[in-house]
Amino acid sequence: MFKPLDILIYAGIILIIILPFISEKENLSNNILVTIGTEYNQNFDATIDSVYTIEYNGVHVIVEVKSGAVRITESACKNKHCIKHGWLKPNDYDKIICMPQKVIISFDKDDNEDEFDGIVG
Amino acid sequence: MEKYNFTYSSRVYLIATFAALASVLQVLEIFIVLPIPFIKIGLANTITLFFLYKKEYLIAFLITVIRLFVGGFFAGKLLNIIFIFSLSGGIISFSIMFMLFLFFRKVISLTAISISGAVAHNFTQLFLFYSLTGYSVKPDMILSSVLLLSVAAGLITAYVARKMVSLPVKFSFKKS
Repeated sequence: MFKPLDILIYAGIILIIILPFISEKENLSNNILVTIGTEYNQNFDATIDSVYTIEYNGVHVIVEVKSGAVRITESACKNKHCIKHGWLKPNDYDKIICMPQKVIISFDKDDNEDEFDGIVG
Repeated sequence: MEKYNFTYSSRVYLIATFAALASVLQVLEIFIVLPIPFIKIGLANTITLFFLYKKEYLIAFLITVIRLFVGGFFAGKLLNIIFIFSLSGGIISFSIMFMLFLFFRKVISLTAISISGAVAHNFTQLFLFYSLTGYSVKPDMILSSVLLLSVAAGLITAYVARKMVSLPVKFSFKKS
């Protein structure tokens, strides 16, 4: 019951099934977004290794960028959870958050599908 | 092999009987509870596959269209948006299976044709949904899970259709 053209059809189907698993890591952004509260936000390039000092309204944070990853090395907050978080990589889908200072560091993903998230049913 | 001789005009009874059978299968499928919602096996497609395999292309097409309308009527969804999805999926799926049977009969098996029919049916509905909502088409988890489910449905349909095809039945219509 197995004939030559079957291979072509099965191969095409298997290719489309595994395609999203292969092409998943393409739209990772290199743009680090640092926000403090709702007023302050600034972008850094993740491809350039550097150390940035952020001073704003009594907030003091030192951010280190190295080989595509980012971490907080120094912070004026009390319990230093943001420093213990360690390195943040683009494919972690995570954020470094310093609650006392309202600092959020994340990789800026420019998906334009977010507008469909609210529509259900 | 048993041979059923139908006169040319008595094809009407054959079409009516098998269209009724396909419609009943399509309606009864609603009551089969599957673990994942909104999916169907597509048992009515076995009738279409059977007649395509027996080279009765016109009968297969008529049965497909009639069972879509009659089954849609008894499922209570005639001429609404779900029916349009069902109709377009059914016709595109029939066209794909018809062309595969017509041109590649020697080099393709019934299982592969059944799977490609199920895939065509589900992809038509998915792309119609995408075009109605303005969602962009790209390879993601929705596409591959729909494909995986249609392969499963196509395998079940092909199993039933192969059992039907192996029955000792041969149609011959005399023109009179």
